[in-house]
Amino acid sequence: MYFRLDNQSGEAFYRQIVEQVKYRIAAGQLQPGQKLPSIRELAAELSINTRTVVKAYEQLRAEGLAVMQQGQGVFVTENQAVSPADLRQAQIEEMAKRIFSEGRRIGASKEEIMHIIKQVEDGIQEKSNE
Amino acid sequence: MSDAIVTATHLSRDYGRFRALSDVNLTLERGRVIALLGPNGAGKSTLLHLLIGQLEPTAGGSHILGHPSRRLPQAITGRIAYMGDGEEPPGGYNARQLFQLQSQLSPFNSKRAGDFLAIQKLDPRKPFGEFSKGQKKWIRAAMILGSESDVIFMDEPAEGLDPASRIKLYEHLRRHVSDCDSLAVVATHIINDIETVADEVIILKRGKVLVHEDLEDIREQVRELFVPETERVPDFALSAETLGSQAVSGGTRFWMKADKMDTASLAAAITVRPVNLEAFYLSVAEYNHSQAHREIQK
Repeated sequence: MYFRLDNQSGEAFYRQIVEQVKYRIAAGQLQPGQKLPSIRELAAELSINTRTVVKAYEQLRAEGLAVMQQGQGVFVTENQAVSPADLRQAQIEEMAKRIFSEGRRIGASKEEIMHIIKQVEDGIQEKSNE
Repeated sequence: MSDAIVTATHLSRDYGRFRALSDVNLTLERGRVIALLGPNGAGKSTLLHLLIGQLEPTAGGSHILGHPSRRLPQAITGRIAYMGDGEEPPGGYNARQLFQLQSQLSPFNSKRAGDFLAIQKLDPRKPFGEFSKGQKKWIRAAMILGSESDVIFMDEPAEGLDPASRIKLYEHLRRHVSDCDSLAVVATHIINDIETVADEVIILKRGKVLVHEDLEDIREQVRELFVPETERVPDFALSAETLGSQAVSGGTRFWMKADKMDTASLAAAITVRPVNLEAFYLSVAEYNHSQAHREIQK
């Protein structure tokens, strides 16, 4: 499983790991019941402290996304209270918030932003139809 | 039980009338990589020399593995690895002989040292003196990483190495710390390379510790605020809690902890973003508020 950390973003490493796991669950790349890399494995792969991985996994567990099974490892929760669709929605909401707050900052109206999103979407559609 | 294996209390050192290090208090634990940062002459090398007992402190003291730095028993010195800035082994020895010598001083893992040497495809039979500057650093790093030390001190180990090698060096250092549950303290100017593997940062300036923080906490808490010149600077940015500020074209940058900010009341044109270690370093070492005030009062 490939994880990468961006040390220039200023985002805490444990949060970056949490976000990447969530992204994969949302995208269906990580299935319920699937095993996550062991704490030592992931820490070694990323050259970080095991404590950082422990913190990430504890956060995932607190959010109901992962379970720790003594002696066996960490797994993506089965029968999750939060579905991949919920996670997708949360992630797209975050992106949308960014678009609107950044857009407002440079003086764009809601209509303008919606119009541009539509245009971009049309462009993507055209490309895939070619 | 505490994992602290290096401690310093009120550690100070003068050179004549110049105070190189002033009242340094530290507790460093096993399993951690510490980035020791600071401008030239901040006292980084002096601190390392004091910790390993090469220098007599003017005041205060330090301990390694429970023993005073100046009176380390031989059994303890064998568990401390130090790579100084400049001090080199005799040029006539080859890497294999240097490993041999090292293994007589302290427990040594020849395979680990050899593997590290092999990354750069360096010939272990070629005399040390015939290698380039960067290659010499690599061989010296191999001697350190091969040792089964509890404490590793390195002074500018990455200087002279190409970017890919610097990253490799720190990855292997991290591995040593994880595998041997050791402590590594690395004095460096090159912040970017060590940013991923380091757990804590110590920032020295003019012999004083300005900051000693967990890096995850810095990433989690410290923010950069940009106030364009068209906006009024929010009151909280002018408080003593602000870590630093810098006037740039078009406005002012402020650095502070997120919980000291009142983001709800911010004008839309004011931006808040996380900072990387380099920006944080500059905020406290170069644009520090109290430092600036002291400067003015002089």
